[in-house]
Amino acid sequence: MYLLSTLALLTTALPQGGSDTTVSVSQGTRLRVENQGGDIVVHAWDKNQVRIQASHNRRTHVNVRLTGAVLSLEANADRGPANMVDYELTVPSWMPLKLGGMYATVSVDGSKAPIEIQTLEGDITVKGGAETVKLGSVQGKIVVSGVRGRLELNSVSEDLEASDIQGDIVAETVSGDLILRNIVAKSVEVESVSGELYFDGRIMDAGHYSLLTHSGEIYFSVAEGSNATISTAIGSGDVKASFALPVSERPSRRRQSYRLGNGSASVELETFSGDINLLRPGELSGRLDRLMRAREERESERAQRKRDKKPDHDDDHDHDGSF
Amino acid sequence: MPHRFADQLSAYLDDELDLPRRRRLEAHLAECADCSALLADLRAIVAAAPGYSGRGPSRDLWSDIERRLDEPEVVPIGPALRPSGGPTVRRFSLPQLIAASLVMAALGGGATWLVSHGKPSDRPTVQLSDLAVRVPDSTKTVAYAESQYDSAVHDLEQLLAAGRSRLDTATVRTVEQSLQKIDTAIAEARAAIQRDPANGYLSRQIAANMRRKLNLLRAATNAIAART
Repeated sequence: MYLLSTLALLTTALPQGGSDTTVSVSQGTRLRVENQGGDIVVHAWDKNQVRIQASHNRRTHVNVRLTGAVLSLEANADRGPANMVDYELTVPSWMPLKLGGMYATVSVDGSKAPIEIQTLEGDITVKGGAETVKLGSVQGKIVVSGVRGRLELNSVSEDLEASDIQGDIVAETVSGDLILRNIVAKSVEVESVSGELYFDGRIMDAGHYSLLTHSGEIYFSVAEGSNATISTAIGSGDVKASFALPVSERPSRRRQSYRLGNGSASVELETFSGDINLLRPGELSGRLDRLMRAREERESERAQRKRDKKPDHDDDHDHDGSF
Repeated sequence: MPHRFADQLSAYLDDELDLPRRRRLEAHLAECADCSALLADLRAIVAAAPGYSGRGPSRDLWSDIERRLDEPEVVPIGPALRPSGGPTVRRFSLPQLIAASLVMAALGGGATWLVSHGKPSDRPTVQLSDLAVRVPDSTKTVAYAESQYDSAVHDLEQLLAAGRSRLDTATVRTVEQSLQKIDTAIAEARAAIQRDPANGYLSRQIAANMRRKLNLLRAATNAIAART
């Protein structure tokens, strides 16, 4: 049983198809959007209102429904499945968000609330978020920054990039690289099958940092004066450090343990067939800057190639030539 | 990904965690009913079959890597390494970790799709979360778990094959390439563990990758179901 509230809606139908609706909401209301295809762009403001701007063709309608404390948006069509809908939403910064879709590109900016986003194919970009932020995509790149809380990331083939995070991190990829920058966390646990792992952050006393990959390289920054026990395990690679390491407490080349300072933080770095690279923070950030620039250039070229592809003649965003 | 501590349960039972990690795990166990239940199941497995040695890998891919090693044998890189004459260390075998891994996947909903949406084959499909409690004998449990894993993967692969036309070709390609990478990682680690059965790192990697494969197949078949 649930309560279905009647909403006070201010809706304007747009002549080209689509709508512009504003809904008043009370503190504690959560937003849920499931979009089969199309973009979801979310901005935050300080009003207790949700503005829903939706672009879609004329036979598609967006239903706005408040069920209990959940405000949900759902697209329906006069006949057949709903077509593509592009949402631009402006929400209170306190509003928890649960967004997802099959073929949806999602971006959130300015939220100070929990966020959960899951896509099958489509990039996810998040600036902000608090308490718990969970982002996952099978075939989409995830870029997140400014989270104040726990961050959980899951990607299959594309890269994960997290920066300026203050909170624990759990992340996993299959083949994408995982880049963590400016991290302040007591606990970081990341794993990949073939991706490379980068950690550029502060090692906190009594913290736990675990980076495991099967066939990727690991790059881990260690600031001078850190108190950590660094345990490394390698199969066929090497442990390389840009600074002098103390003598390992283990005799094995495959598994070594280095105690820095009082050794209070636990750092586990394991790769089956890659190298482990220990660098000073400045060295790693310089390397990451170069890496990011190269990737941006590649992505720019890829976007250009995409734009050069066959145009969408029926203008319904699906490039299939039919309405 | 709420059950990342599962990988530490083996070391915890063997009293191999350092104090900070032990405290963190115990704090997590106090709050997480799922991990506490898993720990209890694993204790039961240990108690029932302390000598279980697991199954060997079917093929050896370790040789390529081994050629590049400068040491005559692979040194264990898991935490199980202890000086001779020290206390006996009993670590979970690979099948035991598989069982644990599958339970964790099931706790995350990994097997519910099969149950709720039917299955393409005639083989019986059960809730994987029942594995650790239905069969009290640990040898049977782990063997059952591995066969159930194979069965679940087989079913999901069939669903993926049957429904792949409903997904974008790029998505299908991504899923299949990723599955191949996971399979390669599992095969390499399986081959390596044949040479080094006490290697806790490899066991954890195999279990984690099997869970990863199941979850990826589940995500793909759920996407197909949503498009149907």
